[in-house]
Amino acid sequence: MINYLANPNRFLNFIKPIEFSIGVFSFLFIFIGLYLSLFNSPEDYQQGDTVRIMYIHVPFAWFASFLYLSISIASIFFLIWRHPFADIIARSVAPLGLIFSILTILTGSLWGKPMWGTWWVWDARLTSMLILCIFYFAYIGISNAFPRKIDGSKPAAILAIVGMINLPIIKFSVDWWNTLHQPASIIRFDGPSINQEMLLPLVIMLLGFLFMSIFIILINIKTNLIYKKYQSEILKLG
Amino acid sequence: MKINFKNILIALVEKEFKSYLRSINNFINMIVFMIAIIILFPLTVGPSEEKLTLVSNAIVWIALIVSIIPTLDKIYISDYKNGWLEQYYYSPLLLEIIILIKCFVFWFFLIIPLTIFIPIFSILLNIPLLIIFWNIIIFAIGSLGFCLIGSICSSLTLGTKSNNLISPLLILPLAIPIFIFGNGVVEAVKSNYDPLPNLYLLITVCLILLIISPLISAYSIKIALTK
Repeated sequence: MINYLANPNRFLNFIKPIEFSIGVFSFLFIFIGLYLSLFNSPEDYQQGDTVRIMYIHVPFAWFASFLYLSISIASIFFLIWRHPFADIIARSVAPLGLIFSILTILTGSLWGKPMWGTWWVWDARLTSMLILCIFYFAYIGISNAFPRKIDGSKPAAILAIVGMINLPIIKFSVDWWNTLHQPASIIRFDGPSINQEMLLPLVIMLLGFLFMSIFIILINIKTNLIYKKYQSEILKLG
Repeated sequence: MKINFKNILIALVEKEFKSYLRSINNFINMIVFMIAIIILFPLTVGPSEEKLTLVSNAIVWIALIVSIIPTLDKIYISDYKNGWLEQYYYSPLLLEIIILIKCFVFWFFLIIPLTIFIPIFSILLNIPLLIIFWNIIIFAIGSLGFCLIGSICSSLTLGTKSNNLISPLLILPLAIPIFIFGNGVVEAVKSNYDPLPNLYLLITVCLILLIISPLISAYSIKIALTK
């Protein structure tokens, strides 16, 4: 399957019929999720209405780290099998991940001001998220820093793999250190500790964000492929 | 002269030392920069004693780190431009070992001399003697880690249009463990705890970097040479 789709033309043919439906799915899921989370979910007994920030904060944070993981996996594929398409995927994921990590920090600080009384603390979870954001910046910076754009692929891939150290630190920072940020409440050994009525809109929002990120990444991949074709046409013309 | 490991090692160290001696104004720039930061801090924070004692240790560290970072991403750039790196690549010695030697020489001739300035600046900022002693030890160990991180970053940015903009972004996130454990040692000394656990963690980070950094640097130098 992966071998079949690794050809850009076959990949484009494969995604052409399903692309539109992915967009529709993402719109539907996010719409339903927003409705459920804003109007049809319980208030928190301590936090009141501000808990509703969670329904976008958690998906942003999860996908910021998942997208970094996917960049690193694509980079490993690129460095080992030297397939140029893996590099295109990694490059297309990076801007979206950067935006997600910035929005995680923004929504988190908007949530932190009423709850903790401060926009920002130098807490393990928050700092590691900031470092993830810096890694995204560095990845995008180094992949575009060379006179020929393609020369930046391998250094950027190495950087993405080095930055993978940060991901377990983000995940387990709330367990390893005493942080102001609350501990994990969904992915735990003893099952989710979150209220069922809150879990449903959150899961729908997560699905919506999954479809949305796939949709945007597909658009980015198409754009990068077109750019690459354009460059090779220029080379042919000499 | 016989070609064996010892002679190659001596020749390499000699060559590196001479090249640092010839670009001595780099070193002088670092010192001038450090002095500028040390003077600027009391002027901007305010000269009162109790404010300065809170941040004095941080000031010395910031002065050292900020003055090192501009030279840190230029470990390989002159060798890359005048073709030395290709000679290293084709030499019988492993590229990783040459990188390790280069990092050690950089550390020994450019960073270790800076420790002379720690007591001077610390006395200017009224830091107690015990903490000055620990600062020198932490800096001597932690700066080796800095050099190894700098080796990764400077080899990744070989051949870029503008490496000055990216390299601080690359260096800072990787160097954070060194800051945390170094600060842990000083905090422990200040509050009369045992500083050794944090010191051991700092040494651990540097040892891990000692293993990883030459491998990554050698790989990215090979990439840079085959462009």
